[in-house]
Amino acid sequence: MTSNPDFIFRIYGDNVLECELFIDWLKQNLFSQLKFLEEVGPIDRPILIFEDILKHKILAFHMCPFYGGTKNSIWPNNPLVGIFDEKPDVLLVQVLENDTESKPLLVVEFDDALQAGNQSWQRSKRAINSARSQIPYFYVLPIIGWERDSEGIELKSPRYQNASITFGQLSLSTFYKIPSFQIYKKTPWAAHAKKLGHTLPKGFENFQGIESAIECACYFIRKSIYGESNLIKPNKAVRNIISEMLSVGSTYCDFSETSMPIHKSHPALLDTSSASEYFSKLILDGKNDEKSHYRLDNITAEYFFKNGTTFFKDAQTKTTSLNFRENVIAKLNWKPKATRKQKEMWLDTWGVKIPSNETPDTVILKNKDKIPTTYKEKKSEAALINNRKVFRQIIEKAYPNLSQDILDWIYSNKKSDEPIFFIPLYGYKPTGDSRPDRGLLPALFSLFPRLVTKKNTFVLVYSIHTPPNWEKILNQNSNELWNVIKEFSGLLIVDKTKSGVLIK
Amino acid sequence: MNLDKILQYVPLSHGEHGVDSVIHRVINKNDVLHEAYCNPPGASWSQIVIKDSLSNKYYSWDQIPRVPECAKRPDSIIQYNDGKDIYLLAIESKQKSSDSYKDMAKTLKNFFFGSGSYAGLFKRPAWHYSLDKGKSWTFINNEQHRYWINDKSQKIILYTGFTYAFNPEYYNDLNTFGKDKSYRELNSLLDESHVDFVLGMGWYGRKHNPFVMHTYSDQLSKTKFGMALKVGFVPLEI
Repeated sequence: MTSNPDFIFRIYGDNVLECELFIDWLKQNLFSQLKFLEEVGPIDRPILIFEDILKHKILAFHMCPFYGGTKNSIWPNNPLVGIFDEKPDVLLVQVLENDTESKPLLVVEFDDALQAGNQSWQRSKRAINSARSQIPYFYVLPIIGWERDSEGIELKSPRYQNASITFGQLSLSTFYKIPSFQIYKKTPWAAHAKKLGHTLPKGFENFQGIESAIECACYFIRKSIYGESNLIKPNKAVRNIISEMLSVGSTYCDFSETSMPIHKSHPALLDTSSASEYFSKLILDGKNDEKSHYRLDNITAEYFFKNGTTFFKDAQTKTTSLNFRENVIAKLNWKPKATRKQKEMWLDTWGVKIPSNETPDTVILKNKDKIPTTYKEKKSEAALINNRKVFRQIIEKAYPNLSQDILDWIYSNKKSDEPIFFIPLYGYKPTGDSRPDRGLLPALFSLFPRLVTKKNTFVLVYSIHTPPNWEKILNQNSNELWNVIKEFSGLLIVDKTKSGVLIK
Repeated sequence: MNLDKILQYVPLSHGEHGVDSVIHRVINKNDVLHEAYCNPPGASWSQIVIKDSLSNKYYSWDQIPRVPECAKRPDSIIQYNDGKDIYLLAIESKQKSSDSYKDMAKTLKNFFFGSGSYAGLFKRPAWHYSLDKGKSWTFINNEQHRYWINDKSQKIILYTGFTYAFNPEYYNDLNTFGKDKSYRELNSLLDESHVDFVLGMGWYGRKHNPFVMHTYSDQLSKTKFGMALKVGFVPLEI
């Protein structure tokens, strides 16, 4: 057996395969600058010994697979405690001299399949947990996927990246000044998509995210043991990753169902080279005050209203109440195909008058700060609402038994100067499953961390399948859907019971 | 820092996950066996990769829909090629021996060959092939080529197996392990489950080193595949 190493790390993995994926990163010595020496210990939980080529030290990595959930870890230590609400695929800690463990040094998620539609919200909470605790987060996923028929035999259409998740991670990276990166993996589906003329990010064939991620991951490992001042920062690798994320974001933010007007006109996307440079410095140095207009996390209410679009939320008759559809969502939804009279009435509700020489469609563009405005064209999930007074009237009419303090939270003469970030949340499918909606609030917070504040976020849970005892579940803190509502919102109303609660 | 001490940082339990981890690691360290699939608890569906005995290409099935009750997706698939013949061992892995069930062999086989309206793996298209054991993949344009596995010029021999952790799974002193009793249990499971391979696993000592006992049906035992499996697990035998 090799003489004792200088530094020891534990790779906690969801299972043995995830541990090995991370070891494979370390074994790519061109990028890791680590030389594999040998493997010791039991075959199912070995220690892999490496020489650090840069510092001539011996590093040991102990594979600790199946580290269990947040409650039932099979290992004596649980590195998730106090940081993570959900378990990431791979988490690295250092074993300290007194046999204790450091806080997680980095987290990697390895996804073989691109998540479909709203399923892509699901990892947002882990990204937030990491960023808040200053833990670098790497989410490895295929550049493109492919939908099949229900039997998996016939090919349907490509499955593209969800730009809002990409922007969310970029925003977290600069908001918390720590990497929250997407790393795009090569897949044979990309070549097939290209052949058929489907949309792919420019230059995707030359993407080097994995190589850059290995370099970054090893930098953060070294930083924990040698200190930042003794290392050369991986500026080029970080720039490369951000540049690829911006490329993916700009490709898919103006695309099909995911057109995002606030983001597609953002300075970061108009000059990706300068933005990558700026982000890299901000993330690695912790400061860079020169060009803060590139920061996606800096999107303000003013910017949102200026560049956003009219709100529309789809509400199915089978799963929502008539009250919700007619007295809430119909008052917030702008319907481009409505008659002029209907549009006039809708605008009048929001206090917008139409000059004689204008039409509702032109007036609305000049008054986005007076009506519900959103970040996504066609169907959307949330709206920023400045006119709190009108919004209070709408909610009060729909839910007449709400308490005064709830209504005052929405609007009162004494306060209410900032807009409400309103999230109508479906929440429960007929089966009782709350996925993927439990990921929506974290995904929205990632996108707009300065707007989705507890002070101004209002969640309305509207599925008719919502459990009537929701308040009890909320207070038990054991359900991830209600936990995220509690964490990110200040006001919760449940359509099913027509009641609500203020959340401190 | 002391490596010996670090190796004494051990899980509080091993279970099905431990069994799957050991099998995965043993197979991947063996040059003649190919791990076509590994799905330990907590893993998300990835892909099944089978090596063609004729062309030596690796073919990938990267999506299998939910499996009905009549079939069971294996936890592990081990492959051995001999001439034109493709030998596969589909393994069901469980935490304990009492988790075995009567129809195990049948439901595992149905996963490949299908049953009723359920189309098994071999009736589904492989979408990609690789010449370098999965380092890079190529999309298969030719529809007939996607169903290469049904080519009659090669023979597929499918075996089934059951693996589990002994109860108790951990022995501070290996001398306290009931070897004869466990061997009887293995053979009894082989008969009851109608599988071709049964492997029981335990862990011992301060570092929780894994150990195995295994038994084979007559059909599998006499093949080169059976021999390769036996050789693969020799280092863990007691």
